[in-house]
Amino acid sequence: MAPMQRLATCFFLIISPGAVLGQSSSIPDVEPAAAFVPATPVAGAPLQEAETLQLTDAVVERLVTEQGVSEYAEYFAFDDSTAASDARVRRAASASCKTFPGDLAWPKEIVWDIFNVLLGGALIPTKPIAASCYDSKWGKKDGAKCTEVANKFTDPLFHHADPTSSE
Amino acid sequence: MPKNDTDGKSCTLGGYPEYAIKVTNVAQIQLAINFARATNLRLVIKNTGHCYLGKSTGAGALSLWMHNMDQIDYLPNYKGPGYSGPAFKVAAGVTVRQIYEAADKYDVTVLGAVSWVSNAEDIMPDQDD
Repeated sequence: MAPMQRLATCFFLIISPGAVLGQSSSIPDVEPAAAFVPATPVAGAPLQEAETLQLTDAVVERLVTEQGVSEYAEYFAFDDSTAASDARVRRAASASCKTFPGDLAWPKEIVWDIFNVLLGGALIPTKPIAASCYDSKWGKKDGAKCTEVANKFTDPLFHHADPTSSE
Repeated sequence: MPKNDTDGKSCTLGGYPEYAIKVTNVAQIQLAINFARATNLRLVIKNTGHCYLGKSTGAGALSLWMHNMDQIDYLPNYKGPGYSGPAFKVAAGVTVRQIYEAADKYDVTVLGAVSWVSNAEDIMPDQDD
């Protein structure tokens, strides 16, 4: 029994740091911002499966009451929601340029984190498709991976399967 | 002046978006549009292939990646204004090759445009992709 207990303790110690890191205290653990809607036909055609999950007014109202999300609800509200910030909408509409990385108005890390949670974890920071060919902020050079990228580079399907690469 | 960065020390994203969303439902699209409006972000759409005008990518942008939206519904008795008959309802990530295969399966004709640039090149020309 004693070895088993020791094993169990070890296992716990190994997994716990990851679990703590994964569940950062500042990122709220909330459901994706989506609700199932009835699959009634639209324009003479049934809704496709992906169309039955929608952001409804009720979901936006839920965000306003959700702990850890409520103060950010204005980022995700429809422009006519009560949760929308009139000042924010006016500012965005009157800006002469789009918000760019590095700008003061660029959303803070916590906002991107909440956005990702509300998207059900679908947010992907861009990593250039050939990053493995260089030592860069996206990681160390990886010869084998780089060769694979080079070999597949003229195959359009390789780029189709990447979130941001273009042929 | 831009120069070839052969050692990768100063690699940047250049014209690529900052973030992409792997879209699998409509709620994510609505959330992204609301977010882009509220923060005044550049929003681009990459369906599956590319856009000749470059609209499927963009510096500093948030990108909707529609590749996985690939449902094809065959509607044998579609009724709409000005047309009644067989029709397809096609999600945004579907390629011309995929819809041609569906048309073959149901023995109907779909008019698409395909450029055989390489072995499997196929795009939906009427979309930003």
